[in-house]
Amino acid sequence: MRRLLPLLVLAACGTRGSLYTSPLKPLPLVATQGALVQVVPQTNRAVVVTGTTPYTQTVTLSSGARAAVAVPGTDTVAVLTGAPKAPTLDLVDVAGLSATVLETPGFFDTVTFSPDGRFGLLTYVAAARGGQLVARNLNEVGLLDTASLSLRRLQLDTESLAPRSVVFGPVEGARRLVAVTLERGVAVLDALHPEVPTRRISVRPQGSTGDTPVLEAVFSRDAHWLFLRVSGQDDVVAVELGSEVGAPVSASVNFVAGGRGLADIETAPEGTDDAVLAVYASSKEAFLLDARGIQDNHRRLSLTDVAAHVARMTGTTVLLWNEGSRTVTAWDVKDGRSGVVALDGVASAPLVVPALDKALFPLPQVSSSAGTGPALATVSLTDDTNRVRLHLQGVQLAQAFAASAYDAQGQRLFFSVAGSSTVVSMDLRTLQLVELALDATPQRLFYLPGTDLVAADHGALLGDVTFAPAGTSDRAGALRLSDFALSGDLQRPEDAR
Amino acid sequence: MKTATLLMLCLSAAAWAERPELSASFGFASELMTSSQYDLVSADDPLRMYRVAAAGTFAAPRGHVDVELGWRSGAASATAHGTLSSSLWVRGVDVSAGYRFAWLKHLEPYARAGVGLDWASLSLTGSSALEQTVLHPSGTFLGGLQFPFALGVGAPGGLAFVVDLGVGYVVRPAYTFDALAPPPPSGRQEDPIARGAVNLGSMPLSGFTWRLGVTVRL
Repeated sequence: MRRLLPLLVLAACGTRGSLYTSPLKPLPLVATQGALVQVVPQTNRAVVVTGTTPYTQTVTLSSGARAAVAVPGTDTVAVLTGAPKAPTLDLVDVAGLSATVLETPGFFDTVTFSPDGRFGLLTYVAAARGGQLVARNLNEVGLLDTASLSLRRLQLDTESLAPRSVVFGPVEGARRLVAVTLERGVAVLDALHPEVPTRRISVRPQGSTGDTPVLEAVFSRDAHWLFLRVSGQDDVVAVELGSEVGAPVSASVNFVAGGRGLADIETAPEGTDDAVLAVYASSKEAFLLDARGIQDNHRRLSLTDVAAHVARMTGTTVLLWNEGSRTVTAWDVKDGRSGVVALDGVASAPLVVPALDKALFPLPQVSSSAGTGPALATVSLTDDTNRVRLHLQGVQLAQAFAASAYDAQGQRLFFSVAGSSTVVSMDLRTLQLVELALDATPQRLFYLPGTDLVAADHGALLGDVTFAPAGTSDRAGALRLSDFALSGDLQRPEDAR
Repeated sequence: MKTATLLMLCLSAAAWAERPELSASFGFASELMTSSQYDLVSADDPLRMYRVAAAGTFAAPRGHVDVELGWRSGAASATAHGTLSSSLWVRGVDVSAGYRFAWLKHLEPYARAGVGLDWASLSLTGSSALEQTVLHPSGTFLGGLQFPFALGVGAPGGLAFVVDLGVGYVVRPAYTFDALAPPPPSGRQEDPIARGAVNLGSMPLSGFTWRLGVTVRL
């Protein structure tokens, strides 16, 4: 008995492992077509919440999840996983609740997908360092083909550190160009022919000894041109790309001058393929610049106020504005007609809906006969004989515009205002508003086109989301799921212990 | 074990005609949960439980058979993931039968087996409160020693105070907490939003146990 008692006492103590003492640090929510996915690296789980079922589902991942990105237009989420010396990529099929694991050629930090979801480019972020790795080759990238589930290492062979951004060109018959912007120049590769060496393009203005950082890149509609906005330069860099397939694409660099203070560039409207839109803040001008620099072909609009952003609308019309000012300008680059409207307040980042020729500007503060307060201004473009008319309609808000989500198919905007638990659905065609009161304040909104649900993320660390049928005011169809990051917490994969 | 208990009860059939000796007991039990999942709700391994029971004792060849009805309750709690209050309540009823014999004047070894029904309630409280109660049968197998001390000067078998020390094993199927959800709102709520549930997984709740109790035999 005397021998047994100490044994029992010792056994009674036990110890607690770190499994449940270390904090859970889920990655940010990712929205697919029909679900929200929260990756929890500590439990090696992707937690799937759909809003159509009142419970959570999980998919077991490889260990070491560090970034999750939804593949556009699909129900797949790409999760960068693995250890620095054995990196992997998990492609999570949210509908089938399964994961396909691919070995990656590097311990990449992020992945950028083409708009159609066919290709993804895995790249490094220079500031991210590499965990335990002593050295990283920031000039290597990984090209993922989601159709064949192949992942291939590519060497950019530039003098730069990690890429700044990735821009996919339009879909062409036999090639798909990808531009990787860098600290020094840009690299162009063909995603359909990854075996072809990458074309490195130096951007070195006349008289300069070093390459200039690329701030923005846009392809022309036919991928014949790659236009660059570079640091400290007012000229748009027009790179004429050859039509080679199966060989490194040839590139001819031209500097195209317009105004002063180049602030934004955009692909030119249809019918003007050998041109690029450029807006200049200092000289208050907008240009449709001829890519070959032929001055006679340039089209110019003198603006009444500073504009720093340009977006294409339907046809050949473009919209110009500046966050922080009141003036919004429309310009038909083909026939030169234009129009201007003054917002009731200072604009912040708008939602531009080209298909409806509309743009919605959240205004933090407006003064009107109804008093002062925030508003949402809708600018609609209509054709007049002599000018482009901008029609302004306002929606009064109780508080500042906060979160929003957009339904491109149904042309609806869902938004919330600061401090309110209500989600507003706005039909962008009719501006009809429908309010749905939730039980908590949304921090972010998602629209799930696959299930026509709006998801309001209430911002809790372990997950707190309310799903509701889009465009309804009826709470009966809503479903709230809380603390779902804990899903599977008692069923840790063996390698997580 | 159950068969053995039934056999002992049959052997002592003659004794059933007599009025059984009654007893009441109160004790402390510690069940050792060594699974990693139990770490969610406890900083160490024991699930500490209290138990009250009433028993009837029947004469048996060379000893006695105790038939006992008990109720037990215990809990563990901890802070999980640095932000959550986690707790596990286990409550249950059990029926057990045991055989004991007098080895020395103050020493009675015994063996006991029982079956029961246990409710386990897991709750997690963070930004919201989630809970789920799961019901499962259980089995308990114990061996131990009782130390009886007669109270008063009556004949053996009269009022006695007994110290009971036992060790054994508690068997339960794994408790699956697959639908942790907020408790329904108290009172009537206008147009409530439905709440979804979280599937946490399973927690094994079997393990070695030891008991220390006191019994008063009437």
